[in-house]
Amino acid sequence: MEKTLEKDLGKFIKPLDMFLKGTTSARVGEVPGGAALETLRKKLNEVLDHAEKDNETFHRINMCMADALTDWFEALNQMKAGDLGAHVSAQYGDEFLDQLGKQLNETLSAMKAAEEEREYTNRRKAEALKDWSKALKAVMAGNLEARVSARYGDEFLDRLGGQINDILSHVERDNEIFHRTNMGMADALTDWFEALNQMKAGNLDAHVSGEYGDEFLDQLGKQLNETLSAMKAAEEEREYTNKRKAEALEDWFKALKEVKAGNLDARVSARYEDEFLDKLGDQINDILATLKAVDDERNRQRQQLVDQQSKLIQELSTPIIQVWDEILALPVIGIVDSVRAQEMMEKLLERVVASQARCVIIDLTGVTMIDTKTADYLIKMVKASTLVGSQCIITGIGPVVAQTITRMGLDLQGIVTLRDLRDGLKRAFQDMNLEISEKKG
Amino acid sequence: MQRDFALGVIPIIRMKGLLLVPIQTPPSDSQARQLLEDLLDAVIATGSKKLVLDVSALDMIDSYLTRIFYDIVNAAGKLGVKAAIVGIRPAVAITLVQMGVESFSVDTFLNLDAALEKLGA
Repeated sequence: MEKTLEKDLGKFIKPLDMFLKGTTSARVGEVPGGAALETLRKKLNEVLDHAEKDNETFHRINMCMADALTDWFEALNQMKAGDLGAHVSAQYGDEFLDQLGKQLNETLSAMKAAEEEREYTNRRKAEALKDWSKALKAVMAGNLEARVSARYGDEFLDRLGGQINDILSHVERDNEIFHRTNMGMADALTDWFEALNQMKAGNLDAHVSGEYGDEFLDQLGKQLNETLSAMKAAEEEREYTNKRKAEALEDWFKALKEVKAGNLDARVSARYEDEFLDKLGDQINDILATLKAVDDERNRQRQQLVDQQSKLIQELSTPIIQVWDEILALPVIGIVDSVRAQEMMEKLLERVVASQARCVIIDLTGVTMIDTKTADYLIKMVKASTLVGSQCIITGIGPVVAQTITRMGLDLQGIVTLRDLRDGLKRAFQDMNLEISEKKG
Repeated sequence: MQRDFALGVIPIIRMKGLLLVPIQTPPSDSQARQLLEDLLDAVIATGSKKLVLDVSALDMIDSYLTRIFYDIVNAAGKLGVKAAIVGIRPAVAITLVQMGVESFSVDTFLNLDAALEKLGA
């Protein structure tokens, strides 16, 4: 019960008490506290005025008044005690007093309402606080989804509640981000660590997932993948280079082996898909080509020497000697092969025509062996010589040559054959009507 | 020297009872045939008893020409003419021998002197 009310009521009670006790001048003093009380004061003082003027009336009124006052005193006391439902009867047998009583009741009701209002507000505040307290506790405990009701039947409280919920939502979001970021970072780091380990172990295909639910981390992950790919490419490149080197060396080794074995045409491929290695390969090929050229040259020279020697030997072995004017002698020495025989034939005929030798003596005394082709050439030589216009005489046919000619079934008909060169020469002189005689004197 | 008969490309030179035929270029088959006719006419016309074919300018004598030569020599022989061939080149001789031609059934000589010596100029 408000102190002011008590005080206010006291201001009414005291003068009434005094009047009843006999102090008929007692009146109600200033009572601040609203229009109703003021009106009551004024009216009560009027009554006291009237009561003072007219005892009887006053007496009568005094009786009702006493009832009324008692009633009113009772009600106020009750209210003070906390019974906000207290009210006066407003039935005092006096119209004026009854009306006052009614007014008092309205006031008491208003006070009750106000008091109840206050209590209600207090209760809502208490509820709101309790609600907020509960929500925060839940949030602190980890339930970030906890919210206040913000429905307290009070606009202000509701608004506050709404703000609190905003804050809680924010906190929840931040916490999620924080939480998520934390989780994302951990995932990412684990993933990268794993990938690097794999690459270290030799798995060049290792890569990170790049999907951590965080744009920034994902981007980092992608960059890391590019780096890993580049590392892989470099590694493969190195391996590839090593492989090519090995291939190149293998190729060179093989080629040199062949060259050593005698094949001077062996070359390296010089196609190793590596500029440097290809260049080396070309250089090696140049060396091999030079080697071959030198070898060819030496062979050629050797062959030339051999040819010269054999030619010399040939010439030595089958010289064509002009033994007399218009008489040629061809002593054949050694083994005559068909190639030599053909050469001999050509050479002899050229010489015969050039020197216009009418007689050729082919001496076979020095011939140890003769093959069929050569024998054939010999016969041809004689026949060709005859065609050209030179008589051919064969001398010195030994047993071996004779056997060969016989075996071949060669016909020596028409061919003059004599024992040796001397006989051949004599015959030649004879055929040419030449005579050797001693000088006279 | 008189070139009495020059119907064909190949000249036939008459000298001292001798007919000399220098074949300068390889004759075609018709030219060779022509030579045969001309020669026989010439023999009859001149009454020559000797005939010399000079082939020193030829580096080849093919089988047809070889045949013509045979015919000339045979025909001349029938007419009582002694024939001779001079100047067969070495390469030609070798080829002929390898072909199997050993002679033209006529004497062959290195040069005209040798031929005339044998033919009895």
